[in-house]
Amino acid sequence: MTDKSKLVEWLESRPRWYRDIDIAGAGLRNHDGSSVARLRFWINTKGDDNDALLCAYRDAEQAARKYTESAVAEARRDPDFIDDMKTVHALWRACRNPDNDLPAFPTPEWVQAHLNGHQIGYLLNLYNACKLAEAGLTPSYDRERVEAYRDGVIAAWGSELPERSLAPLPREHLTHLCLMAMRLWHDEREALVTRLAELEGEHARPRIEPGGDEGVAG
Amino acid sequence: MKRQPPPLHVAPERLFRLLLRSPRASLPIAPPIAGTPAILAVRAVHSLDEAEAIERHTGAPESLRPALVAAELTALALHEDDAPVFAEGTQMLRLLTERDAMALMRTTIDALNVISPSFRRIDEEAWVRRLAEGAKTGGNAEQAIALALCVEGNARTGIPRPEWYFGLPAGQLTDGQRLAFRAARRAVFEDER
Repeated sequence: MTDKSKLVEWLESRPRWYRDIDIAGAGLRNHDGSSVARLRFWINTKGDDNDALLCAYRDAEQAARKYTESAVAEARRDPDFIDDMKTVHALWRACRNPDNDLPAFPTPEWVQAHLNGHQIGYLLNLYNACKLAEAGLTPSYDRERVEAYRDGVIAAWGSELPERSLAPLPREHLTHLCLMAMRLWHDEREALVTRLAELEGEHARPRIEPGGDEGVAG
Repeated sequence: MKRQPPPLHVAPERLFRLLLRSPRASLPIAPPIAGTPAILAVRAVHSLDEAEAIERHTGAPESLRPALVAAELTALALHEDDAPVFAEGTQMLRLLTERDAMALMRTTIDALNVISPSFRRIDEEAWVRRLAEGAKTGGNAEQAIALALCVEGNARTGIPRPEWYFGLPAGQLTDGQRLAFRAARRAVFEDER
C-alpha cells in the first residue's frame, strides 16, 4: 500500500497528548547535577508499550545469562522481574524533556542505574495519572461522596471494613479522595474559626442600655 | 475450547443477507476514537489470511501474542473507501494508545464475529441452522434458491459450485460464504446435512 488512508493521515497529524509536571521535589538530577524541575509525560502508543515489553524480555534474558544458562527461561517466566523491566522501558519512552520533546533520560539502562525504586514508582504514578487524564477518566470526589465514605468508615470504625472498602481503589482515586477530604477539612475548619470569631466578637461588644445617652459625658 | 455460536443479536435473515455479499461481507463501523473523521468498513477475512495472521506471531512472547494477532486481523479487516486503512497491525499499534488500540480492535473483532465466521473456531451446525432459518425469511428465499442451485450436474447430488453465485474463483470464497451456501442448501432441500 503506497497511499496512506485518511484515518492514518489524521492519526499521524494529530498532536501528541502531553502534560508537563513539576517534579522539583522528587530528587531527580540532570547530568550536571542540577535538579530536574519539570518533566513532560507522553502517553505511549500500544506499539511503544509492546516494544517496552520486548525489551524487558531481552534484558531479563541478558541479565540471567550472566549467571547461568538455565536461569534464562526462569527470568522470562518471572512476572515481577519482567514487569519491573517493562516499567523502566515504558517510562523511558514516556518521560520527555519539556524543552525539546527528547527523552528526558539518556537510556533505559541509565534509568535503572540512577533512579531508585521510589523514584521509579513516583514517575509511574504520575504517568498513570496522566493516562487517566488523557482518557478523560480523572477521578472526582465531591462533598457528597467524601461524606458518604466518611460515614461508612465511622460506622464501621474498629473493624476491618474501612480498610477493606478502600483497598480496591486505584491509587489515583485514593489521591483524589485524600485531597478532597483535606479540602473539606480545611473548609470546615475555616467555617468554625469564622464562627468562633463572630461569637467572640459578640461577647466582647459593649452592651448598650436602652434609653442611655450614648457618647455624652456626665 | 468452546466453539463460537452464531451471533444472537443479529437477526437470522440479516445474518444470511450479510454473508451473501460479494466479494466480501462487510459492516460499517464508527471507529471508537475521539474526533475520528472517518467511517470505516470491516470486511470479512479469508481463512488463509486469518491463519497467516495467527502464525506470523507464533514466536512472540505469550503475553503479547493475542494483541498482536488481533492487531493483524484488524488491519486485514478495516477498510476505508475500498482500501485497507492500515498497512499492517504494527502500523496501527504505533499510532494508537493502548486504550484506543484496544477499543478499535474490540469493535473490529466484534464485527468480524458476525460477518467472518471461520470453520476453525465456530460451532458449524449452530451457524448453518441459524442461517438456514434466515434463508427462508425476510425475502431471502429467492437468493437462497439461486445460491442453493449452484451445483454442477444434478441439483441434489451434483458438485457444489458456490463460487458461481459469488462470481469469484473458488479459492477466494470466505468461510462465511461457504456457510451461506450450506445454509441455503439446508433451507431449500430440508433434509440436506
